[in-house]
Amino acid sequence: MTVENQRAGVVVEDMDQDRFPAGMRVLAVDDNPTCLKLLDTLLRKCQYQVTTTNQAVMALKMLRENRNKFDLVISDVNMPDMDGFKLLELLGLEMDLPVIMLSGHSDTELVMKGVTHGACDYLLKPVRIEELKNIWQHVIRRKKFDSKVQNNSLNEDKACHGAGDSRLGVISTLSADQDGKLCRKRKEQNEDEEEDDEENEHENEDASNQKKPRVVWSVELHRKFVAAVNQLGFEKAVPKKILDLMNVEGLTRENVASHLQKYRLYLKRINSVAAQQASMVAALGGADSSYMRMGSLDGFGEFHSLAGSGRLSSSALSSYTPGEMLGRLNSHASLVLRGITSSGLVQASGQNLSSSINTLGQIQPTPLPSNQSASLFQGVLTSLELTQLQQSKCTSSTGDFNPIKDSRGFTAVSNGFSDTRVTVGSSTSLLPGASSHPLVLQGNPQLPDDRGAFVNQYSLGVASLTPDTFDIGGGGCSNFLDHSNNESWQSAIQLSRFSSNAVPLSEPFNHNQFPYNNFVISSIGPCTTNGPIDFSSRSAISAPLEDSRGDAHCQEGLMGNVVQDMNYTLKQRWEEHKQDCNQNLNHTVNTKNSVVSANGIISPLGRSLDQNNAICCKSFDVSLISQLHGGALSIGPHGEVEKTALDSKMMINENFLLEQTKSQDGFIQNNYDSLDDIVNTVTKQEHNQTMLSDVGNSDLMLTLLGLVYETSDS
Amino acid sequence: MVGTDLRQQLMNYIQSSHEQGILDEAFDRVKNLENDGNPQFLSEIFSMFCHDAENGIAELTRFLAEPVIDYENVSAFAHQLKGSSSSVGGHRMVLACCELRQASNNKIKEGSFEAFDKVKREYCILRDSLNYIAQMEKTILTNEARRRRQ
Repeated sequence: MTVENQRAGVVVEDMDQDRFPAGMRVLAVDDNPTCLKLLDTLLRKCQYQVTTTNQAVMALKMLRENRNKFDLVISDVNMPDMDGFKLLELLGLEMDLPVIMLSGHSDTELVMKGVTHGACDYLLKPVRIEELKNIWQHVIRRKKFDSKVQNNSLNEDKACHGAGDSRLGVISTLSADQDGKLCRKRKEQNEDEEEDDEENEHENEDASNQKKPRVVWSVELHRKFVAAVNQLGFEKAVPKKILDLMNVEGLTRENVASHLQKYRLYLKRINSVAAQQASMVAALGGADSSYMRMGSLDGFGEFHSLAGSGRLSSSALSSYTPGEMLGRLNSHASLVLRGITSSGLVQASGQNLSSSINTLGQIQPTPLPSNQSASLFQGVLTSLELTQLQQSKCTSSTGDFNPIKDSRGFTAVSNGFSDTRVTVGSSTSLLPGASSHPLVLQGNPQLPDDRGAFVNQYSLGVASLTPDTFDIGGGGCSNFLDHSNNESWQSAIQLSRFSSNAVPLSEPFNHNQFPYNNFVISSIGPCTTNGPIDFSSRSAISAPLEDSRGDAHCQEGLMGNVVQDMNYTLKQRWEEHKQDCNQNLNHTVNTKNSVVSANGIISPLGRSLDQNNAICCKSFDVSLISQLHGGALSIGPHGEVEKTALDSKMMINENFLLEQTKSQDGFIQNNYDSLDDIVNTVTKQEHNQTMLSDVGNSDLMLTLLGLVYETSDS
Repeated sequence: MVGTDLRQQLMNYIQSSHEQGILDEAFDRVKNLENDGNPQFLSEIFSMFCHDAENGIAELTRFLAEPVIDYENVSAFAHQLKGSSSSVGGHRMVLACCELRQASNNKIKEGSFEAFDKVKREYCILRDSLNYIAQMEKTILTNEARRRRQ
């Protein structure tokens, strides 16, 4: 190992290579002091460097301060301040750290949950030292994977000299056969990148002498990435070219390659998940209309008053699979949010999400199809505000959600999307994280009165449900980019994890047993081929909501905006009850001149704060399938797509619970049929920007789409 | 030799605790951790555990005393107690906690009270046991240290 290191000339910045696994830096999180102390003792016995905290929030803080400070995180599942799974997702998403779950429970379901959320391992209490002695393998494994991804080279030597990753030295010394396998996997990439090798070397040499901090794939960055991928065409997207297109300083080819790898895996996973799920063609028909009610603004009294038309489009929450970006949907998913008429591109960018964001229930992470380009959603802007929100562009919104509730933070999106942000270009204002919880996402959908393109910010509050129900912090993450014109707004959706306590919901929102749908409709970007967007929604139904299905109604935009064709499959999965409802809505949305308002109705959690609230939520994972390009928008179960009036505010709120909106008057329009019509016009998808510019004042509203992210590791 | 006697005595005690199911192998593991030479180690762990457990029990008492019992919290605390007692190897207490958790998950009032009583009893037994062991261990180590110095 040492020899390799020397040869590689790699600077070991964060790991003591010589003594490894001794000296591995572990962060232990457990609210139970006895267990924590014992864990600490055991870890020290294994000669690791241990840091302990009994608060998940503190752990996050420490990690965010310096990602490179730790090699591994061990976390308890049941913690008062944050659900262990949520922490898991966030960590996987943001930091790409291996996380080991710890619990007194050995339920298969919980273990499964851990795995799907991206945990490297799941240990049972009381912990044995023998088990702890082996946990270093997870660190190596992950680093190896990363380095391979970054390396993008068949040549192991290159890997060694490499990617400038200081950890590469270690990796290169390990399992040569694995290298081979990984290399083979990447053959396709490598062929394209043959010409890049030289440059690779060059870069590597330069980089290898430098310390390389982990790259944070912020929403902005991811958006650029996806745009670049789209532009190049998924098949032809090679890291070098992507890097050039992205034109981001400080980003290396390796970073891009790594990210690309994850992205592809994500897409593949979505694809396969989609294939597995039964497609529900007649989703809308059978769907319980109450489910995806956008207008369930019972709770939003003010909301009613706000929107003239009284229509509310719900935004779909997409769960992001970690590390993968849902992709930009070039087609304008018409998520109609109330009053949102702007077309926006929703782009969900996700960092490495360990698990999809689970708004209410569990969102099955579905990876985006590998060849899926970023999907941009128009019209839907979700701004999720995290405490560590990156800069969000908020313009003062004309509409004012404030009356509704400033603190209507939606904790959407869990994990790791802290860096993703939905910023509405125009007139959006972010509601300050009303919720005291740092992870509350708030979007403040505001629609300028007369703007065609709106970025709708909606606050998506997803309360974290009971740890049991919460599978994945599903938030809708969508990045909405409105490229249409100068009204284009860029929305970065910042997904934050839900915190179980965090979402302050207004009274009416606190309903037990809210079913909600997270429905994200993403339109595939121009680069994508027609393909279905898979939304898999998972509802964690604490209370049985058999019929809580969101109806996805796609309604032609009133504004006549054009919605790009989107084809997506909405899948719902009811995790708790193990019902899998897959509904595929196939809609082809004509992006040109109609506003397709797809209501991704995301009714985030009805009750967020209490862990044990029985909340039925359905989260839709939107997975864009690579063929989505110009594909019809299939709205999975039930998105109610509504056109939102310009001045309506888009608010994605838990209270959007479609269930609730069932009784909403006039909120929900089922224009599914018309949407079908719209959808059936397939328009070729051009580049997002182009398309969007065509849209112009189209009032494409995009409801929030839940983007599913899934960690490639999980 | 006093030292040996004491050790032997302690071992016997632990052995019988095992047999009674009060302690299990987790306890042994904890005990083995003290090899780092910290005579206080066991005491620290055990007192930490007792502190946690007493808090937990107090909370549970509070919750169960309410007119409308918040079973979710009861269940959560029962789980906590289970976690800590399993870490120190208090086998019977773990079982009692499981029962309590079960009862509270099913919202059975009678059962919850019964189980809780059991938890309290087992805790007392465990606590006494642990204290005794810790004390013995401390004495032994101190004696050994003294003998070494002599």
